[in-house]
Amino acid sequence: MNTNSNTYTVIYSTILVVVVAAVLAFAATALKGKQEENVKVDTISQILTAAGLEYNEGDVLQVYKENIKEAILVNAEGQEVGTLNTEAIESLQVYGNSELKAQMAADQKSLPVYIFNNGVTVVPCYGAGLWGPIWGYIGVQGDLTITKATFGHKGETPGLGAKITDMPEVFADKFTGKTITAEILVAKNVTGANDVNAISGATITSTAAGVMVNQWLGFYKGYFGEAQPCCADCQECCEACCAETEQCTKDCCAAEEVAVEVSNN
Amino acid sequence: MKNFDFKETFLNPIFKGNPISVLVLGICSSLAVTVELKGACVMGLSVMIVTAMSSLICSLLRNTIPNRIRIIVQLVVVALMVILVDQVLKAYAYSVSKTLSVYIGLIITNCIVMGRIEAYALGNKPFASFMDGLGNGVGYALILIIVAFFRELLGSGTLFGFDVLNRFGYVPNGLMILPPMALILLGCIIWVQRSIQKDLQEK
Repeated sequence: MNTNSNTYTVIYSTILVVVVAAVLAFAATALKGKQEENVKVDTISQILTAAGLEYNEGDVLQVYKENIKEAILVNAEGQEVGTLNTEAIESLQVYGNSELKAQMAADQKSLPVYIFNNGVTVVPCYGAGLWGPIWGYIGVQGDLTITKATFGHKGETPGLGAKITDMPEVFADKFTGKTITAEILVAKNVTGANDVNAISGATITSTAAGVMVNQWLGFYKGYFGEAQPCCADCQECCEACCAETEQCTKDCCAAEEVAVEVSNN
Repeated sequence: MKNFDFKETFLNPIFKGNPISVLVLGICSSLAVTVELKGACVMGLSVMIVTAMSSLICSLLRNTIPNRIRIIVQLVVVALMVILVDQVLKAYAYSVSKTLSVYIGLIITNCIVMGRIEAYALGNKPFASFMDGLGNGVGYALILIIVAFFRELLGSGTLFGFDVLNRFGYVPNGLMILPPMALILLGCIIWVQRSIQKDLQEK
């Protein structure tokens, strides 16, 4: 047979491609369940990290189940619209990256909130990095400051952008203590109280992470509530009271103002 | 290749014709994945499977492959094997697959795989090609493991993640973690090999 004729070449390549596609499709389908389970465990381990909980590779689901208080879905206004299963280890529900991506464009959002027994509430974020998607989990405590942030990425440059995941001490840990009521600025050489310094050599990934965090905390604004509106004229003294009660009683503010006047005199 | 010497075909690429230290192929990935022994072992194993299987398949197909599209056919076969390895790792060794994610994909462009198919598998019987592919994979893995052994031991003070040197007050040498050190170690390996194997020395 003449293996160099055009007809033969075309038929050969067609058959080859069909066979290869069939093999790959079969492998992908057969391994899908196992892979999804791994992705879920990985997602939960990131949520646990953001919640500040210790775990080992084998007991991720166990630790999550023991420490989670409830996992709910909220809409952009902060109202609860559903719950995620936290009862049985086999059917724990979390929002993976594809679900988070879908929520970004959705008009009626249902955003996951993971509330832990230690008082930390973990919310996810998802966005575009330099080469591919990046995501993160942010632990927030009662006074609306971040207790811990952790980031993940699909394909940021190893040694540069990948540091958002690999070296938490140079980037992710710096989110700790920032308040979510104001914008968290991520840029080069910033020194403000609510600013995070970008990783040198990875400015695009760092700023993308900052944009992502602000965007997603914006989605959750309704859920967490705002510190300012209850008492717009005295933000300073009201940060504490707003976290405690929805309505500002203005008492603390009045007391503060009096104290300031006295000290001025 | 009438008198197929099983031992020679398999052992030659491991030392005398090592793909990394003699043919100097596959340098890119050997620099990148040798920070830890665990990653190096998995990468070595993956390359072994990919070279052996794709050499076998290409050798089986060698008489039917149209000459004009043979590189494309090789590429399809290699890509198929690589994606299969990637899928299996994702299902059964997720943490490893996460660390190796980029490099597994890069096996497709690893010169060793294509090089052995083009140079050996297209002209030899399937079993001989399989052994040649496997031998080259083993040779590649061997160098990876030697480099990773020194880099992890001296760079982190651990082996396979277990503390070895740190308990004796060793301060990890950060330079070993950086890619240039892999190149220097590789240079040392080539040096040692050439001083043993005099015929490789260039006059």
